[in-house]
Amino acid sequence: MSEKSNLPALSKQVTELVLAGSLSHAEEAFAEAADQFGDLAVVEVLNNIPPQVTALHMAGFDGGKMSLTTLLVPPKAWADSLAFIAATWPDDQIEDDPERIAESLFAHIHGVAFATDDEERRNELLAAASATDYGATIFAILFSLAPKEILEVAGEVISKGPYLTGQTSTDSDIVPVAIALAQASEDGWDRALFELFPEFRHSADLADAEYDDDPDAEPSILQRSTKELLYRLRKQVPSTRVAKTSRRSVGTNIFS
Amino acid sequence: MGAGSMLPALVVESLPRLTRAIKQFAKHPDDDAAYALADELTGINAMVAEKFTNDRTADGIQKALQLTVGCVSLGLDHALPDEDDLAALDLLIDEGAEHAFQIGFRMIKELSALPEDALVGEYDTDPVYAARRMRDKFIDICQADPNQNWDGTARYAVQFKQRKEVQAVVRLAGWLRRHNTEGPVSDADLNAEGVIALAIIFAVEGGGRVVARTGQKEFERFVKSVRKNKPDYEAGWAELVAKVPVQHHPVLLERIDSYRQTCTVLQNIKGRTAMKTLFAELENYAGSELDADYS
Repeated sequence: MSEKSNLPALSKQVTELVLAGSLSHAEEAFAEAADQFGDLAVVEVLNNIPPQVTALHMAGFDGGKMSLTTLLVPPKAWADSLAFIAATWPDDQIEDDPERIAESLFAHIHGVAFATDDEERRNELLAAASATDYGATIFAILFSLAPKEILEVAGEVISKGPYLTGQTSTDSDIVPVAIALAQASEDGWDRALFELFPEFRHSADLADAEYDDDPDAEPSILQRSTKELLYRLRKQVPSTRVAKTSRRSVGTNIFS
Repeated sequence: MGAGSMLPALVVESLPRLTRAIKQFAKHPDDDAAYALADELTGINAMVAEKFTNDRTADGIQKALQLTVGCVSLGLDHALPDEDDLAALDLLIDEGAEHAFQIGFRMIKELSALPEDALVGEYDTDPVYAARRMRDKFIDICQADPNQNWDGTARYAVQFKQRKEVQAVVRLAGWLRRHNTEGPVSDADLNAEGVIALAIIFAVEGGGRVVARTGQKEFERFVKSVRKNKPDYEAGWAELVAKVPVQHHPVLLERIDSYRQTCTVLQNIKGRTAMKTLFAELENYAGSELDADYS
């Protein structure tokens, strides 16, 4: 939070409320600010509060409930906040029910990306979100829920480029997000694919890959599981603690 | 406690130095320093797990934690042998846990590089085996449960002293081999006590020769010469001592004294003992340092 930022009092208030767990009060503060100063005030505050606070706040509003932030969060602030989204996942749940976490993650991504019909904003959001390592992992987690359909979309992206229709053999909710991502950022789409199918180096190779439905068959292509990807994302959560020491680690020189 | 507290305290608590140092934070709180130290220790833990245990299992990381605790404690004990635990905490804050770990780890490397035994084989100089011995020694000395008594530093001191003594023996044998009068002996296997025994036994003949390797034929000549000339053993040993550099004298004088009292070869040469018996006795002392061929 920079000293020169506008609305410092509101930014501080929202941060404190979110960290204290009062999401509804924070949301109220957002609503009041929007009424009083307009939507840009909320955008300004979202630009200023730390990304882990944004993540905490937005994670509380996935699925059924709507938050003003879902509609107004700036793409960069949203992308930054995604780094922290895995921080609060319980280990037990990653282990026992990874699909449920992946689905709530899908609800969050879908909710933000498709909150408005503004295609330009959607492209900006998806491009920013997929531009980071953790962003690529997040999309790979969503794709891991429907790997077969994703391979079909990958084939279509290669053959038809931006004119893809998204016709797949089954009806999966993941497909529209995948197509939106492929249209928003070619790079982000590729990175998410390679995160899910780590053996591939070029997306054209994926177009030819056959997905085997038989769960007993030896898989012909290496695919990371949802659980594995959730753990990967958990490992990518950055530390927010600022080291006060000026000492630099000597690394493996400790063994010298 | 109850009845237990009536008993005299027989066990003195001696937790690893790192644990004791960290406990000083209770009396001298410093949040920033505590966070920085925790960060450093976590980093060391991760590096140790990657290199020595297994950074992909909880068990491997737990073992690496114990090794980290022991190695940092060993470094602290070495750097601050006579100072209190607050001084140890100061060192951790001022110089860093990595620094303390590095001190401890270098000590382990030094210890494992010292010979364990006066019998040196080709495996003892092989780098692959050397790395494995280093790892074994690291685990032997540094495995420390942070909340249990640990005597790694004391065991290190004992082992270090023992190995230094062995090293002195090996170095004397090495010098004797290089200055063997018949020409330097080069052999990957070394029986250091055997080399020294040969040199001391043959020195009684006098003449300042250095015998580090010999055979049966030469021994028979030596026995006949000693029986005929009846040399002064002490004079021969004085000549040997005069040839050997002074840094090897403590070991050499100690061995000469021992053989003067107890060496059966030297005692029996003077009598009528059969050559075959004498040579068998020499084999007990010199072992693999005797040439197998009769030449």
